[in-house]
Amino acid sequence: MSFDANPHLPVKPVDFHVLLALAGEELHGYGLVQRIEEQSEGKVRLVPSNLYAVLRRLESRGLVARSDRRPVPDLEDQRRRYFRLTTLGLRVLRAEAERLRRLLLRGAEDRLLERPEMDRGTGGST
Amino acid sequence: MPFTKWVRAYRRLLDLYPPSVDAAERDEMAECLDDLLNAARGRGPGASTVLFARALAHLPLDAVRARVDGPPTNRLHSKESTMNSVLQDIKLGVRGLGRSPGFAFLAAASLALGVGANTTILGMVSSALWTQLPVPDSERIVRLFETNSLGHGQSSYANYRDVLELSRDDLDGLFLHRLEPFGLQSQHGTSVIFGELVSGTYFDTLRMTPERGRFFTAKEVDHTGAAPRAVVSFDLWKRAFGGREEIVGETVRLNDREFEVVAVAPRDFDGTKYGLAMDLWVPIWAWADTQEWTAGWDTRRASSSWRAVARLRRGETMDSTARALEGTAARLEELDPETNRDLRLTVFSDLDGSISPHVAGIPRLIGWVAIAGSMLVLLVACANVASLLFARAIGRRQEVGIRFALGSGRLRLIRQLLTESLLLALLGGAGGIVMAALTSHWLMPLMPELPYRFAIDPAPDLRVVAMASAVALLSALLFGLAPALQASATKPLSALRGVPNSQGARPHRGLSVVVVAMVSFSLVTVVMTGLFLRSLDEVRGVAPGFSPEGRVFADYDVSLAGDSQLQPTPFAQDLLALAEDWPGVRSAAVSSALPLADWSERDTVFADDRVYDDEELGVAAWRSSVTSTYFQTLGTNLVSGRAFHRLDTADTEPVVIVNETLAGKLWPDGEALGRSIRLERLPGSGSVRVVGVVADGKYNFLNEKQQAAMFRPWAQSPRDRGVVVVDASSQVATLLPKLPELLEQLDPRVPILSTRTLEDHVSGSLWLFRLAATLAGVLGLLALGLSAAGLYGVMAYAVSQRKFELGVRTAIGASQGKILTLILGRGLRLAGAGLVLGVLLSLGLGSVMANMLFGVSPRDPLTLLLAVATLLSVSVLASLLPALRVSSRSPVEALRPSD
Repeated sequence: MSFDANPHLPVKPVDFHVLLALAGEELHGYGLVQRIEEQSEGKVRLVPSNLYAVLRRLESRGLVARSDRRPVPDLEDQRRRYFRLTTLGLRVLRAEAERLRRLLLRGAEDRLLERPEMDRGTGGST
Repeated sequence: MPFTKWVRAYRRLLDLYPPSVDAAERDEMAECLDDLLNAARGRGPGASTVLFARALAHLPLDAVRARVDGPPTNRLHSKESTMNSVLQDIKLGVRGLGRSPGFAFLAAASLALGVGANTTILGMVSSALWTQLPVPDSERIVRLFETNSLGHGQSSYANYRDVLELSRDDLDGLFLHRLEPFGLQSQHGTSVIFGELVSGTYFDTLRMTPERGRFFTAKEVDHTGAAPRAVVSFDLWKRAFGGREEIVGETVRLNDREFEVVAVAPRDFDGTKYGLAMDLWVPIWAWADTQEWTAGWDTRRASSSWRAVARLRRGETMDSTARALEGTAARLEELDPETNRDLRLTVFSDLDGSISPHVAGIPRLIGWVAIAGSMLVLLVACANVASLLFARAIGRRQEVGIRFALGSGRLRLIRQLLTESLLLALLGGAGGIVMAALTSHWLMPLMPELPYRFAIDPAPDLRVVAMASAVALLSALLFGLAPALQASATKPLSALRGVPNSQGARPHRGLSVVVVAMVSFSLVTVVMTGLFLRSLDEVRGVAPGFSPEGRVFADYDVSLAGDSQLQPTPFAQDLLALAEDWPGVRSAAVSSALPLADWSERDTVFADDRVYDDEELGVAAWRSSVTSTYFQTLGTNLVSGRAFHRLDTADTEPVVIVNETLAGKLWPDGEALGRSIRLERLPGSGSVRVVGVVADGKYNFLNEKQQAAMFRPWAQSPRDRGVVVVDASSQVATLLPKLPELLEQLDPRVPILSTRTLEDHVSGSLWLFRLAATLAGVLGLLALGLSAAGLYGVMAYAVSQRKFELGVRTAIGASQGKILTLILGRGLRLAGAGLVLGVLLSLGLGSVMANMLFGVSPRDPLTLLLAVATLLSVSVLASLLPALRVSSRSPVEALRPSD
């Protein structure tokens, strides 16, 4: 398997959210849904069928793997499986984050974000 | 922790996922939802419901996606653009079809036939039966009939005037009209045009806007002495007036009287006579004035020669309006208890009313049966293509397997296969539309030959072409999807192993279903064909009551010359004197109407020697005025008494000749000769003596029930419109073209409406039966041919799949006959199942057809038997050919590895 992140870029937004959620810790399905909702400020709310579709896709590309470990074994029953980021997954996540950062730095900020002073200036002349 | 009811339902739905998503993962997804729901419950009762609904809403699509994407493979998502891959699909599709031109041709031709038949029939039905008047809210235009126990009758002007007054609150407009020939004079002489005499309310009721000028109104024209005005059709404006802008205000000469053209009708308006294109609209009163109609025509309630058309009030139905008119009808009976006895005003849709209220509903039914028939053929065609595609899909398993192995996605593969069927549909659809354009011309001669311009154009219009294209595309998806799914379900490994058919010796199940359906649909179509052909045969065998052979006739109308000095009686006498002198003429006669013509007169007749009580009604009889030589010229048998003679004139005793049916109805107990009839219920009004009884004939339609008829001497009851009939025996061919000369010689101002042989006239009256039989015949042949081709294709394919097995059987000693029976049995079992299904379907459809047939039961056993036999022999042939081919091959050849 190749470890080059480039063929995987750009990453779909929902894939990015899943990768990002798994960046710090291993999570099961429910945990993932919660974490993603949190980090997207409630904008991305997944249900099992589409979450698992994303997971299957990421798994097939080698970005995510199922974990055998149970971080808190006494609380969980057998049905829960945890997902973790693979090395490639981490690389892709970083590369995508870097890509997004460069995108913002390359002047995008100037063109995108509001300039309240200018609005006030034009408004005052009338 | 056990799941809640909701989560258990969700878990069950997860079984929609393909096996590649294993049970553990499904459990996990259910578990995830359970956790989410528990968390949501903390946020209030609504939150968990919303969440569950969202989870449910996403599931089916995700499951389908998981199915289509197939098991996860280690491949990157494709970077090629969708457009590129679609182009590539098309390229591959064209190449694929090009590689098997036979298959492509067979499939496209099948579809072209199916789509073509469909488009033709749809075009005909939509132009003949689904058209509406091109006026605002045309669905509110209805036909009113004066109904009593004799049936649905036309209106008198007097009744119309009262209904108009009495029903102001029940109707949104009402007018009278009737078809009228006009003699249009120009510097080139008189030409006959057809138009409508209308009441002044005509254009207001229809709510039309003129192309030029302004339509006349009731106030302007519905009284005597009104300035003569006329409205011309768009077509006449272009044709006879060169489309001159200044036409409005110009005068035209009609029957040699001047009329001012006040307006030009819109281009798409053909008038309100069903199926005919009218060229002129003239107010009734102006016509009565200029033609010097006998005073009292507007007050005599018995002279009902007008048709009434009304506009329903907004929100009212035909039923509610008919109920609202009950009071009006009762008032009419009060006004004239004699003529308006038991009168009801009945409401019919424009289509039913304008064809004939007595067959209400049947025209639409005919349309649906025709469409159903053509749909059946399309289904057979689709089934045929589907069977070809199935066979091809199975034959392509190896190719598909290789594609899978090379990493082609399932969706992509299905798309590729569907592109191929879409290409076929495109070819077939285009072929079908071309075919429809050709056949509609070819159908024109089947339409009746009448002097009028036809408004029915069976050429497919844009609507129909759009519909046909939609049908073609839809059928492509329909017949393409199942084989494509089937092919894409191929397991790469087994396909690559090169095993010819892992499903064993049986033909594929999808294929079998298609064949059974195809055979059963074909049987239904063939039965329909048989029934229509037998109806045509039966109706052709009906004796019309006269001998059409060797007779020719010409229609004329003396009133069109516009000369009030020109009287019909001397004109007919002079005409006959001239005709009888012509070489080759055995005898000649003039009559006011021919039997089986598209128009006729009727009278209500009473026996003069009986007292009728209030409840009793007279006998409605078809009537015609004829000259003395009429029965001899037409070859009608005189049963008793005498024919008319030259001494029966306006000044001698009024006499009549009745047919056997009328005689029997008036005097069931005995002899009619010498007794008298009268045309009024009460005695005292002129009685007419019966001097002869003639054999029964057919008067309106060949398939009518026996009806009463009577004949009056021409001189005692002359008509402006007449038909001169000549018995020319062997000289028909020479006399027919010379008939117009005869009239020209007598008076060039009197125009001829039509000339034809009587044989053409009779067979022309059968046009509806012939049309039905021809269409059904073509559809039946198509269905038969298509299913034969389909069955042959399937059997040939099945045989090729079993080549190996059959080879082994032959090698270990199976005889050629044994192999033959084996294959034939398989084909016939499929055909047999289709036939049984088809017979059941035909029997079920029987009652729908009953009204359209003549002299044959819709469940006619002979027709069914013949149809089954035909299809059976076609099936045997279709299975025999491939069977013979394989059984004659040597086992060595068969066992050789596939070529």
